[in-house]
Amino acid sequence: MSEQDVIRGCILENRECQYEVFRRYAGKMMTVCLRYAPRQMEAEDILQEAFIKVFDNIEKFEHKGSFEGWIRRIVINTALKKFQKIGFQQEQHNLEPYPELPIEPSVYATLHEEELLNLISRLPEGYRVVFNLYAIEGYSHKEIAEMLDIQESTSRSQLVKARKALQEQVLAMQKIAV
Amino acid sequence: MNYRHPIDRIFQKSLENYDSGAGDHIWDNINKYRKQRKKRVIGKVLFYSSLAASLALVVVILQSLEEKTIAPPPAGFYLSGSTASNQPATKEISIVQNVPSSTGGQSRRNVVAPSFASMPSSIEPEELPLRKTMATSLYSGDTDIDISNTPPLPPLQSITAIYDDKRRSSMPKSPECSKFEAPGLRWTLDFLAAPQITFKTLKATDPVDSEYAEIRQQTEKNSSSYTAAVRLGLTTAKGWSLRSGVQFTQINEKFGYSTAQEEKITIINKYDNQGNITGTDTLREKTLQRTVSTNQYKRLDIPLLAGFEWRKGKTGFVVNTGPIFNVSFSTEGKMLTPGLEIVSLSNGEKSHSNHTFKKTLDVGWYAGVAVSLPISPKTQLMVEPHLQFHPASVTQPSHHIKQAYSQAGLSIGLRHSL
Repeated sequence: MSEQDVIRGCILENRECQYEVFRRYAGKMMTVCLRYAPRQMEAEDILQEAFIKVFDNIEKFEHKGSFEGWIRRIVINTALKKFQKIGFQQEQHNLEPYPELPIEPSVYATLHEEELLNLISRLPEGYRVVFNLYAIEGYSHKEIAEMLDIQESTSRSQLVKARKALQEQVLAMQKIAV
Repeated sequence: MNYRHPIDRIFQKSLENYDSGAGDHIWDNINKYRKQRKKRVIGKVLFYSSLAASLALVVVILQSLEEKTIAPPPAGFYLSGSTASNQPATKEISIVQNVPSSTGGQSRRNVVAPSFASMPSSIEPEELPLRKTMATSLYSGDTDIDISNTPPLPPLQSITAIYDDKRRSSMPKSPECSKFEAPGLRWTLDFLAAPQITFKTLKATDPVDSEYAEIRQQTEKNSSSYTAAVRLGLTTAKGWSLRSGVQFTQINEKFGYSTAQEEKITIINKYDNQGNITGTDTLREKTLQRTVSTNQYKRLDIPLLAGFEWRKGKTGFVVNTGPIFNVSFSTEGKMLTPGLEIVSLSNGEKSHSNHTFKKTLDVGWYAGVAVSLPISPKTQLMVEPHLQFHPASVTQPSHHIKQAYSQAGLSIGLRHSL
């Protein structure tokens, strides 16, 4: 079944087509949810809510970009609605200098995807959201500031802290391994 | 091209298209939710339709009960209605009319009214005396009328219409007119406002969350609540009443929670007698940040109250009770999540409220006893102690906590007779 057929079927509330959409994209979207949620359970909640929105609004998909990209945006927005504003209240605007820790980027490359996801999930809420939006989704600080209703400087500082926290976690893992 | 930090690139490359797999139980949940939602929508439509139908039925019954109490009009006042229609419609009626003819002043009999149904429906006022005479004659069975001294007869109109018009024009132009339509039915408009005491229930849906429920209880203190309502009421002569309108209720709470913010490390040097540093003491202090906010829970309801009214001297008493249907529910402020993170409850895209609280609440119940005293011929001062009982939770069924509010209050307001 082509993507067009599947979308058309979903508009007509055809359950087989809806399941096809779920089967094709749910796995990848689960990764997105796991990046934003602190635990598996919350990630599943987000995925469920996001797919309900996808099926409810599928007739609004305008075929301008990729269907996967459209679903991904819904998943991200759902995740943000669930977890945002957390941890930003106490954030100050001044950017403190954070020295880079001596870890070669190649060290990260040796880590499996599950381990990377695990590293992200252990980040504090605010760091995690900004790191996901900036580093993986590719949003600018200006866009993140608008999405999260925070200042650009807050977004920058959260990102720097997130990277530092990730480095610290990797260092700790290395120490345990040694 | 924008510079990307190496860490960012590694995470992006590894996770952008990674498939973590999603269990079929999520698909089952999606299906279940969508089915339930469909049922809920159908249920709501049926519920509100039946509510509207019941309301209409009650009004119709009340009105028909009242119409039975209307005194019959004086005999012969109406020509229309049953009396007139009981006359044989096919009876031939003759009117003697002088028609100038070549044969001289001879009378000629003309059949003018074989049936009322065929009569036209408008008439000039100057024709009324003639028509009245005709009608009276018709009613009495005397069908021969000498109209030799009257102007030529225009097209004959509906006699029933004439007398309906005449009856209306003869009615006095006073407020008593309305009582003629349905005596005893009284419309009133109530304006009420009340301070309230709120009874809050915070219960964990699972024993695992009982600690969370306790923390929520400690961090959210009730401060005040109030309600305001506008109700339209219909009261029968026997005292039965039906009231409905809009009621706004706001519950205010104070949220307060302290979080450990930053660890402040102070190193204190130890000195010997010569002033040399012999050692250090490290003092670690955690600064606390207190987050406070005023939480507001606002609800807009439609009460549907059945009641009974009676008087004792000048004082009126009303007992009202019935369901309260919620139209909207909104929240503002802050609360703690089970992970003890402070989240916003304010409405909007970024609110945690969307996932925690319902947008419309289940049915509640209202009971009140009002005492009223006249302050003008049409206005009464009213005091109504009441209870608003809302057993259903304001949180979503999936939430960890069942949170419900009931209120008791003393409404003060005005009742205006329409």
